[in-house]
Amino acid sequence: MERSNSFETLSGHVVICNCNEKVKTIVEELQNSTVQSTLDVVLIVQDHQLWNEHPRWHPIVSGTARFIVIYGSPTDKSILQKAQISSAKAAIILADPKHGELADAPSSLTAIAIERANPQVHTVMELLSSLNRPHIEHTEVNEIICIGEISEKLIASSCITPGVTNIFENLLTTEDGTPQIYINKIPHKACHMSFRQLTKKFILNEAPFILIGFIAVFHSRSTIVINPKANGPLNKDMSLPGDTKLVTMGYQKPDFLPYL
Amino acid sequence: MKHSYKDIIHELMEPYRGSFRSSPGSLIVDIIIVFCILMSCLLIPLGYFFPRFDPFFWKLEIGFTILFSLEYIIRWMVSPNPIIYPFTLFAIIDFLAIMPTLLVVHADFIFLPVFRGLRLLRLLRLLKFMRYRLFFYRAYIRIRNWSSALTHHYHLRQIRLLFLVTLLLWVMGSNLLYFTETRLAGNEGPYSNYWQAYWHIIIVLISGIEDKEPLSFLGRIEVSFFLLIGICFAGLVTAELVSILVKKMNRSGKIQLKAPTSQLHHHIVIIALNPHLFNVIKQVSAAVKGRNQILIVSRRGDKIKIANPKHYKKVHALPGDPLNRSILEQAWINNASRVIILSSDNDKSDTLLEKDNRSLMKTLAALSFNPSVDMTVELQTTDSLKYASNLSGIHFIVARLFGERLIGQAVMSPRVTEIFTSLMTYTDDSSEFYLIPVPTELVGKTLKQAQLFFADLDEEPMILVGIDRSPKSFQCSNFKLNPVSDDDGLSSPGVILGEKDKLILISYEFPSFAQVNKDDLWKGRILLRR
Repeated sequence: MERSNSFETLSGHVVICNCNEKVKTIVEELQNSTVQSTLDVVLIVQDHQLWNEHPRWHPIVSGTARFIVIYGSPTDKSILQKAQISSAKAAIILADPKHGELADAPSSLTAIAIERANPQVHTVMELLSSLNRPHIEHTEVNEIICIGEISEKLIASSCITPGVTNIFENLLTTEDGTPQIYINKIPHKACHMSFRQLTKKFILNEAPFILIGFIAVFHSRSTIVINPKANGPLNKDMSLPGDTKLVTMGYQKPDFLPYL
Repeated sequence: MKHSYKDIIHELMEPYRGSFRSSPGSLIVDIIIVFCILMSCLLIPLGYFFPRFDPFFWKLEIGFTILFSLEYIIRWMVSPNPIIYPFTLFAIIDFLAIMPTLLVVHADFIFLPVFRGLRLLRLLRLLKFMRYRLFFYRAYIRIRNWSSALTHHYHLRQIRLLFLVTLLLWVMGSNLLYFTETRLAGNEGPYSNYWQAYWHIIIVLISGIEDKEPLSFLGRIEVSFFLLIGICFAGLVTAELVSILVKKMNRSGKIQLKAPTSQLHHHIVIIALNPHLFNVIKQVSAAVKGRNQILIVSRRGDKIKIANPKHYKKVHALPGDPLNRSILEQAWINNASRVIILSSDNDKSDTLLEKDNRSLMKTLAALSFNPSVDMTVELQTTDSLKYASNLSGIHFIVARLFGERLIGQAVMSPRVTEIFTSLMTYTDDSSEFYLIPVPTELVGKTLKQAQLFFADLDEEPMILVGIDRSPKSFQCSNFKLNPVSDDDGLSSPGVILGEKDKLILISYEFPSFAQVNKDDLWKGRILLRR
């Protein structure tokens, strides 16, 4: 339920544009997380009636984080200002059910409007048709999530390795006692060490996380390398520069220093 | 993992399965051995029919026996347990293959020519083919399916029948005309020569044109009758050819249909259609590298359009209602390795729950044919999961759940979606999750030792991320990723790895050193990429 509609100063919060059946789970995941600090959420609803007609979409907020609902268009500057987009950590643009299967266009335009209002904000957009992905990848949208694509990939993965969906489910759940994937900046002490050296150090020092990859700049592009190979340009023996990010699997945000 | 020379030779001597374990060298060895078995058996009838070459054949036989003896010794040397090897079935067969010749050689030395009769026992080496049963079985299935597809697509049955009838009419007509003409017109007419009559009748039947005129009235009536049949024959053949061409044109750009008589084994059945179909096929084909046939069962199966037929060479469609038992029988679900049930979008007016109910009914139907098959079912709502969960061992996927969680994670850890996408995608440049039995050398070791072992594995990079202690039939029902805390038996880094445990690895391919159960491989329970 809506905890608050008050407009106090918000910072590092998440703005969700449009409402659909996913709002409930997303807000609950963000606010009830036991492994990360909980986040305030601002929901921008265009269709007041639609929101009120679907009480099942309303999240149950039990923690200290705030959940604020604003009515208006998410492309409207004043509404975005009201949602304090300039100080938001991230913006989630959901597919508006009012537009049916053609919701990708208004979602993309909303994402562009948000990026213009605050280029620093991390935008996550829900895509309905995977065919539209290449067009939207050319915009400033940071992450595109297409449920259809996830479905296809999960079905194929489950077909090849039965039971693997349980692993993904386990990794995606933010409940206590389930691991997650974390991306964190490499500590200064570990700069210029190789992936292999770091892996061994973490294993030998019984670190509560597993190093599974890194993100490094290659040919002026930030590249994700999961399970690096022994050869190739981004290999497990290359010295990791200071701007590298480490990808780990653990139960909480990793603290690298005690294990180096 | 480094392979010793013993492992390499053992792998070479194993029958080629086309899998990651089999090298091209193994295929060459197989071909040489199969050729030698066939040639050595052929020597027996050759020796009987051409006795003057008997000494030469005998020298060849000695050569083959030396080769088979070497094969026997090598297999013995590289066998995992050399003490029990001579008593295994294949070792006994290998010994029986060389024993008769050895006995005959020995008999020659002690001047007992009667022992030469033992040469016939050399046929026992045909038993050696048992080792290659999987190879022959696969070849048999492929040839059978190929011939039944050919028969179905090119109406070969009808054409065969047509030619058979024509052949009968030709023989009957030629004889009839010959007897009519010799009786009524003497030996002067064109049909009075027996073999000439055959030539004239075939011209009449095939071209529908009278070649030579019979002299008798009855003969003319008979030729007129065969002329009519010839016209009909030409018409029918033309009609069949046109029908094949029309059918081919109608099906161009569409997925090929499964021939009703073709039998499928270890295939992947996809039941129902929705827009995810092509990407699921693309993903699965990339994952199994086109090794397994894919069969789509849907009422709209004959209408599925494809952009590039090259990518769908091993994909067939079976039109029909997936709830119809005869359709499911034709889909050979009982032989399938995997079944995927997509959420059908056939009826646009269906609610999500109705779609799920249809999918669940199809699940029950498929289960009634093959209760042990690994099945993945796409559902639309979490409500359906509540009662679907009663069907244990089936993997139900509500993608929306994953999507919602992924959106949440993407906010907390930017770029995490790319990592998940990479882990879910089967390409040569991305890693995926694999479950493998604990390698023998790691049994009894701690998880930490195993992690260090994998950290240095450069030939096949992989990361050990967890341990699975689920029952065999319910993989990943009791597993732990990143076992660090001590809250249960699975969670300590000092946990000792047991024989029955499985390791959860992030790897580019299914690890080549994984000990794959041959029974699982034979029954298609394991799908391999390489």
